[in-house]
Amino acid sequence: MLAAKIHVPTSIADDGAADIALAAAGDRRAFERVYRAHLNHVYAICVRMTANRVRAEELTQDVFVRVWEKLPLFRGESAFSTWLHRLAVNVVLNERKVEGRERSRTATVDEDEGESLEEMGGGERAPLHAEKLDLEAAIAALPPGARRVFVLHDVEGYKHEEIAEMLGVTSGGSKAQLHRARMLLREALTR
Amino acid sequence: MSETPIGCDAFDAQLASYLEGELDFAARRDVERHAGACARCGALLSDLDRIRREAATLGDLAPSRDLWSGIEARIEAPVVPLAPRGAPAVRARRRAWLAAAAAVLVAATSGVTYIATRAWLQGKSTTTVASNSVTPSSTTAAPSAVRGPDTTPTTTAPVSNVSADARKKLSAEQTYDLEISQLTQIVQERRDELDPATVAVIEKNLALIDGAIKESKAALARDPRSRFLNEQLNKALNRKVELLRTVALLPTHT
Repeated sequence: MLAAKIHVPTSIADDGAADIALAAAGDRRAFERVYRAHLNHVYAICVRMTANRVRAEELTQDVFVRVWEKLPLFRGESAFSTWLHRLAVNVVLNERKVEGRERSRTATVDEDEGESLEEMGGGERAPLHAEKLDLEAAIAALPPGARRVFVLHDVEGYKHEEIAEMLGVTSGGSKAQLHRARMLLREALTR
Repeated sequence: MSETPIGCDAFDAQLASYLEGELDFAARRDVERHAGACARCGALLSDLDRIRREAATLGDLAPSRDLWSGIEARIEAPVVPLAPRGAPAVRARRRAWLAAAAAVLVAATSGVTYIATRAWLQGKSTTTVASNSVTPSSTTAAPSAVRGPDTTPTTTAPVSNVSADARKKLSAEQTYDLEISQLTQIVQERRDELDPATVAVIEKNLALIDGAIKESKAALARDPRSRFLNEQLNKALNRKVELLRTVALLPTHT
């Protein structure tokens, strides 16, 4: 089973080892440096998974608070970035489960929880090629289930077996959602 | 190996498995042959392959604001409990955070409010404030630094009829409301003792703060999940408490 792809440059990961150790021991300034080194990647996961910038910012904060709490338990069996990446995904998915339970209680189901293409096309993202901006907006417009699987598989590099475990679906269900997502993206991008 | 070329329907049926690399050699070749011969299916395969490749190269994104201050505030709050392993994450933590914030507020501010309340009560013969309010005299959490020896609770001090446990369960907003209600009563009683110019400045500032509170509450009604708006509301409430406390402790004008 392949690990999810790691976006953190080697130099950052290497330079960050001392800060990670200091942060695990309770050094908040070191933790701030760890936060700054990994912020944009964690935020990217959150915003692509939720398609909602405000919620993604809240979730990003939740992720780093969780990292602070759990960091003393990080034993280095995996790369820190891999550990952080999985923790971020879990925080986002847990939020989804809680939201789902609350929605079912309040009966205010809104299938498309994301922002519109126009809203997601805001100016605060890092500069990207125009096609990638289109792809980002198209991903944001996907139905939530298809979007989550697409982001986890095609963007983040998780295997279907891992996604199935994370989302509580079958591997076949994950594959079906992925194909649906790709077809919808193609339709959106060639419209 | 099939001898007959597959059609578009068969291509469509096998496309997902092809992209997942799940087809055997022969089936894979059939798909590729059809894609090479059919413009529609060739374009579809090419587009999906491009989407897959582009998705794998998507880079990081930057949030619209620096998130560190919010994180720092949460990790530096000494009474915020670590979420238990496996606990429902965000909503439960938010409730715990609000409860903890309420506890912190009571612990950190009640000593000062107590002083203000005591100073006011010492000048009066009645204990109208004490009847149903959460007064800090019964709390054991008031910092000793702000509770001087002359403010040790006595039987004449206002007595809370709300237990410490019950108080901890109050939301931050409820706790602020209790504090504000208590302090407002003191300030109202002191109006005539204060310089009219001072009263005018106080009322102007209170109106500004009340406006901010009203706006925050209205925004929260539209977006109750926003931690930012919750923080803004708490900040505004805290400013009001601080101002009322200052007024409660102002010397009488001469």
